[in-house]
Order: sequence, then structure tokens, then C-alpha cells
Amino acid sequence: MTMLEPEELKARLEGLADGPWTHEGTLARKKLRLPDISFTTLARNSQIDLTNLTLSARALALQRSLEKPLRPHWVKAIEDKQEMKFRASLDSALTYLQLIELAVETGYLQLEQLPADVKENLIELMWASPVRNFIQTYDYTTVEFLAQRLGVISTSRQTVPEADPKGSVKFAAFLATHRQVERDNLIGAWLSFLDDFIQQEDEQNKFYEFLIGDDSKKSKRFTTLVAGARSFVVLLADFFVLTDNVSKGRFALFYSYWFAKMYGFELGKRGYVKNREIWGSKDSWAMALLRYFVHRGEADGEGSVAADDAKRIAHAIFLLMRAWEAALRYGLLSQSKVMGQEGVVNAALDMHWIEENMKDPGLR
Amino acid sequence: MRRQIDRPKECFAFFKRTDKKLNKLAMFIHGFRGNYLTTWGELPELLHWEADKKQVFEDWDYVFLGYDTGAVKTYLDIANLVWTHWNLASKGSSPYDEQYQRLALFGHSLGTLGLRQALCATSKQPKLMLQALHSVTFFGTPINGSPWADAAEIVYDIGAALVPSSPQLRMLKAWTETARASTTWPDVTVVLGTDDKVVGYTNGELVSWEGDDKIISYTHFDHSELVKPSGWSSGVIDYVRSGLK
Repeated sequence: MTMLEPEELKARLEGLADGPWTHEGTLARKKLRLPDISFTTLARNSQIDLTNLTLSARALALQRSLEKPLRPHWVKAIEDKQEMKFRASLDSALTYLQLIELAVETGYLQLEQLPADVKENLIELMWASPVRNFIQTYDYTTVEFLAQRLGVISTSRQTVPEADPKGSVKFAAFLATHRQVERDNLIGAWLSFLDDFIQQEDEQNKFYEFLIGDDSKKSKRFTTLVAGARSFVVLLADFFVLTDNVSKGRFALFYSYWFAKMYGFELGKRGYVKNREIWGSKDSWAMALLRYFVHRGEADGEGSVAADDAKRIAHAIFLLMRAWEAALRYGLLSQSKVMGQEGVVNAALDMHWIEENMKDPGLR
Repeated sequence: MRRQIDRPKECFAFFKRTDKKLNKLAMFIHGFRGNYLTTWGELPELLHWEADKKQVFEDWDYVFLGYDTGAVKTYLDIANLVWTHWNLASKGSSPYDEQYQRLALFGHSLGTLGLRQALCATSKQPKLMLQALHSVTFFGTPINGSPWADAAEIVYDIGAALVPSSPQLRMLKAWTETARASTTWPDVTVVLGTDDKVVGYTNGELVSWEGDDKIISYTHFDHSELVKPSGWSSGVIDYVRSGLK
């Protein structure tokens, strides 16, 4: 194990903190930072059991008030704007901790060299039980790993994965990819759309119809969404192609929220299950995108730029599906809840259609 | 044994040998909307973990440089990156901390146009840069623009510079011819993919640039695969090795 030189450590930590997740996480951190809990003192303990903290009346009141905004969304839909804002901020704050854990898991950072404020930051968020429940519900498994590494006992005991002694270049590539994803406006537009931020009535249906061949729906907005989706898929595939079976799941868990949306799955109390009501058993945004690119390729003919692009996109969509499947398995290693995998591979894409249309042995 | 110096905020990764001082630096520049590490597939990992055990590769340190495509307006912006880093490396300034004497340049796609610019704008170069130049290798260089550039132009300023026969591209070609008349640098090795629909390959011999090696190398890859080795036994590795020999 090689310790990093101080300058190198600083540059890496700055790279990890330099993203929208830092400022977007401020709201959640502020709300959870209670003056009557000394997080610095707590962080000094080598072992601390968060489930057994003695909380002040004020802390207990805050804890109670967090139960409603942090409830699982399937208990009652999250529609209140303030609740949405707080949850989004908590997601961002947890993203930073996820990145730190992945950095440690891959040897990009050494656990012994983590600055004390990482542990403090973690306790500041996790002292409240609704946050710990949120972490479990929404598969922030890596945050639980980090807690355990730092001697913080939260809800459940995890088998913490061993650090990969040769993973640091891979993590650098992952971080570079994620920074690019976060900074790309086209990708931003696509992810917002996946997150139900729409610009016109019935936009999701209209966009779906456009993708599967209704050219009358063509618009600048839809072209932008396709470009963003394409960039997202290609950028991530360029990274995931570098991963093996173990690291694929480790990194893909970070994107499971978006992968679920791309492949038509929904997180519920049984874990991720195919949203058959909307997508049937085999359709999804990924499938609709694939159709869009394949049709364009067919229109331009075999050997055209568009036909080659369709093959590239198909490979990327396949690779990400495998990555997402690996993420579910990786999540399962540490979860006691039953995940509704129901044969993710075959349920997520219409294999029959693909076999009929792609004629590409690489996709079987 | 090598040290990985990673500066994510600067899109910079440097793989430096620690058991032995080296004075040769290989520099890699990605293309349009590329990524300073993933563009090159497994190459950074192979170099970091195994280069010391491989002849030729063991004698070089490696730097992967990146830029934000959205922030690049002209080829000069990419050339600036090359000049800046060679200036630091040749002086032994941080983060290189070694005075490098030889430079091998590798570019992909748009990155190759930035490198062409770095070669021909001689007045902007750090002193003796061309004399230090060991080799130049271009993968998937847009010989006469890219048929995809029209789409790219909608979103990125630099997309206009990739349009076939664009003013920027024509100017760069003339600039290269002019500089080449009075200055020399090693012949450029051009590697094109026969499956590369992004920048094409069929007109390679018709529009080769002044200073390009007359023999163009063709490989059975598309634009992206062209620079992604999947192991040491790969055409990409062979081209990199040739550039370092």
C-alpha cells in the first residue's frame, strides 16, 4: 500500500469535492448539523454506534420531523417542493460520500489518509435514523461501506469489500467520466427529462412516438434529448467497457437510479421491478432509443455513418444493461430485502426485436 | 514502478517511473468530446502497471491531457495545452519534476488538429520543442474534416472547425505547408481506421498533409476503437511502440 504524497492527496480530494454535489448538498448538511451535537468529538471515537446515540430533545424533534420528507416514495408520492428539494440535496451530499468510498475501494485514496472531516461529514448526515433508512431504501450501499470502514455503526453490518490494489487508474477514469456527465448540458437535459421534468404537456409520450418513428413530432427539443441520451450512453459505455465483473457492479451501483429509469424499472418495496404498466415487459427508453438509431441506420443504408452509429449505440446500451445488472447483484450482496430482478437481462430489452433487426452477433 | 499523478480538475494524468529517472515524455491528446483517460481504453492502465516490464515502453513517462470541448474555440486552444505542458516538462517544473529532453506526441481525432497547430505555429512553441520531438502519431485524423461536423457545430464552437474544407481547417493546412518549408519535424505517422465513418479514410492519400508520412497505415477499426487497445497484443499498442522506438 503506497501512501500518497500530500500534494497528490490534495489534488485528488479537490477533484472529488469539485462537482455540483458539493454545493447542492449544502442544504441537507445545514439542516442536519445540530449545534447541540459535537460532530467533531464524535468523529474522534474510533468506534461509534449511531443507533445508540443519546439525543437531546431538539435532536429527537428534528429526527421525527425528517421521517415524513425522507419516507420511501412508494409509501406516499413525493410532491411537496420543499421535500423534493431536501431529498435532492441529501442525494448530492451522499454522492460525495459514495465517491469517497469508491476511491477507497479502488485504492485511489487510502483510508488512513482520509481527512478527519470526511468522518465528521458522514456522521453529520447519518446520525438521524430517517437518513439511515433513506440510505438503505435507496441503495446507498457504498455509503454504508464507508461508514463501517470508518468505525461508524449505522443500521446494518456490511461485509465491506476489499480494496482493489490495482484500481486507482480505473477510478480516475470513472471520476473523469462522471465529471463530464455532470458538466454536459445535453446530458443534463436528458437526465432531467428522465426525472420527469418536462417542457410541454404529454411530452414523454410524444418523445416516445418520435423515437419509434413518428417524424411529425420532430423538434429541436427532441433532437437535443436524443443527443443528450446518446452522449450519456456513449460516455458511460466508454468507461464500463474497461470494467471486469466485480468492478462493473461496484461502479454501476453509483448510476443505478438512472439505469433503472433508462431500462423501465422502478424502485419499490420489493426492490427494482419492471414497470409493466408503462413499459410492458420488454420496452423502455433504452429500447426506444435503440429503435430510433436503428431506423436511422436503415434509412441511410448498410455501411453508412448512421448504420455504424446504430451498432455503436446498440453495443453501448447492451453494455450498460449488463452494468446495471451487475449493480443489482452488487447491491444484493449487502441487502436483505428481496430484489425484484426477475431476469433483468431479458426483461429490460426486447431481445427478439434486436435479433431481428441488428444482425450483429456481438449483441447476443 | 510508477506513480500516478492525477489532477481531475485539470483533466491531467501523469504516469511517472519512480525507480529510475527518465527523460522521455509521451503526450496523449484526445479528440472531440473525448475524455482524457477513457478515450484511450485500457492504455493508461497498461502503461501504469506494466510498461516497466515492456521493452521500449519502459523508457518513457506518460501524460494524458484533456480539455473541455465546450471551452475550445480554435485549434490554438488545444495547441496551448501542448506548449504549456512541454514547457513545464522540459524545464522540470511541477508536476513533472524532471527535465524531459524527448517528446513523443499522440493525438486522436480533433486532438490531432490541435497537435498540427502546435507543430506549425513555431513562434508560440517553447524553445527547442521541435528539436526535442521524437515522433508524432495521429489516430483518426480528420484529413478533410468530418461528415459529422455539421451536427457538432450546432452545439460546440469548435465543431465549425471540423466541417470539411472549413476556413479554420484550410488555414491550418496552408499554415502547416508554410511552416514545413522552413522548419522540419519528424514525419507524422497517420493511422486511419477502415471502419471509421466519423472522419473517413478513403481520401487519405489524396489529401495527406505536408509533413505526413507518405505511407498511411490503415487498420480495421472504427473511430473510437482505433485508440482503445484491449491488451498488449493490439494494433494500437504496436503504433504507440513505433512512436516510442
